[in-house]
Amino acid sequence: MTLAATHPEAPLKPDARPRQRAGLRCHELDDEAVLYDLAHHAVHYLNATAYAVWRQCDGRTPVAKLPGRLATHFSIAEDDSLIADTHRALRGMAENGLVDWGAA
Amino acid sequence: MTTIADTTPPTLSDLTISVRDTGATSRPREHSMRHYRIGPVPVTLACEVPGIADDFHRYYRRCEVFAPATHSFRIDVVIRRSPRSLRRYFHILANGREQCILRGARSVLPFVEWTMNALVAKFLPHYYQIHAASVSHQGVGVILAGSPGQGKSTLAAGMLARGWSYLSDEFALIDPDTRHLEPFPKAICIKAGSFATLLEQGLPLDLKRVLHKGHKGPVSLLDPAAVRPNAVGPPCPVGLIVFPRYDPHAAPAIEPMSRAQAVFELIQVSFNFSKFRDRGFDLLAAVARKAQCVRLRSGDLVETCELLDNFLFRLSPLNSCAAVAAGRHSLDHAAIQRGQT
Repeated sequence: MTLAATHPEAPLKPDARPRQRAGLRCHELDDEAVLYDLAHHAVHYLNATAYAVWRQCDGRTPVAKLPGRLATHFSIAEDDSLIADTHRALRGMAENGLVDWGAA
Repeated sequence: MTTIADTTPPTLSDLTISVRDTGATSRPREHSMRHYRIGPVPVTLACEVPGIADDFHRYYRRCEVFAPATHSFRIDVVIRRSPRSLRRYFHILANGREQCILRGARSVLPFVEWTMNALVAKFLPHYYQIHAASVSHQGVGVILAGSPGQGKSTLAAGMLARGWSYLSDEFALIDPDTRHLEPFPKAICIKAGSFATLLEQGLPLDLKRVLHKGHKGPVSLLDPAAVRPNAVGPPCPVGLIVFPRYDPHAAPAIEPMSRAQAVFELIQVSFNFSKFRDRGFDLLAAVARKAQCVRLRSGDLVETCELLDNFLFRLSPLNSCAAVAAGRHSLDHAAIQRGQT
């Protein structure tokens, strides 16, 4: 399954379930992470926010529920900008091969 | 002592012998061959040009061994003449394969060093190799990593002048079994822009032996052993990872850097990550967990060295594993960086 939306800023399908892609080796360092893509020999750095989003991508949690979890994690309000930012982060991860999409 | 700067060019009869002795793949006469062990690196230099052989020996005599290692890196310097112009050229061979052809004698020694680097990068598989200088102080290893032109070598020399121990220039070698920095005490290659500053620090740079290294221009080699006895430190764990950025117009400053960012950037400046892959990834993460990671804006050498000296002094076993404050990012600052290895 590919990204639900074609426009770069369009919202993702709320029932899409992002999943950490297999074949990534992760080292959590403090609250950030580096990931090594074993298949493509690429390395990725995720800052604390990006890593928090990626950690929530378990293939079971729908996109619609992710902003709420992040709001709890960071003790911030779940508002429209949080939703948009979460979608943007997920898109970036999909483009970089860090998540794929489980069945809705 | 013969120097490159004042080497008398070989006479025509010398050159005739050289040309006769050196075909396309022939090697220098055996009597000009010497063997060295520079840290973990065994090197055999076979050189037809006495001045260059002597100069190499001057920098590495402390590393001379009298029998070659089984898998010694062999570097040959041979002279050949152009059959058309009769101009002489210096050919440098690495393990029998031609690396470069040079016209000027002053370029030969820096490119012998460069050839040694190339051999290490290609044929020293055991060690994880980072493009960095490395030094140590009181058993704490410091990696000075980054892209060329950021003053790594000058900084290493400056710290050496302040009493720190020298481990390596150009390569930081990490032993994957112990995760320790391994000394590879090559002579430090100093660019002309740093000559005056390092001389002011009392370092024994010999400006009569200024060499020429391609786009780097005039360089001088600094023998760490000439700075003081026991200037080369033993293997040690990494306590500090520094990414210097040279800015001559700014005041020196240190700012914390997250360990994850440091691992990401170390991979970008590694020579053999593609050989280590996940092992190298795990190794760097393990090394970074035990180290502080910082960015260093370096400017005036004395001030920069003082800053680094004081910073390391403040590191203690109690706080060396403390998390660097990366700051809590708001979601609109989520950052993903990708680097191809």
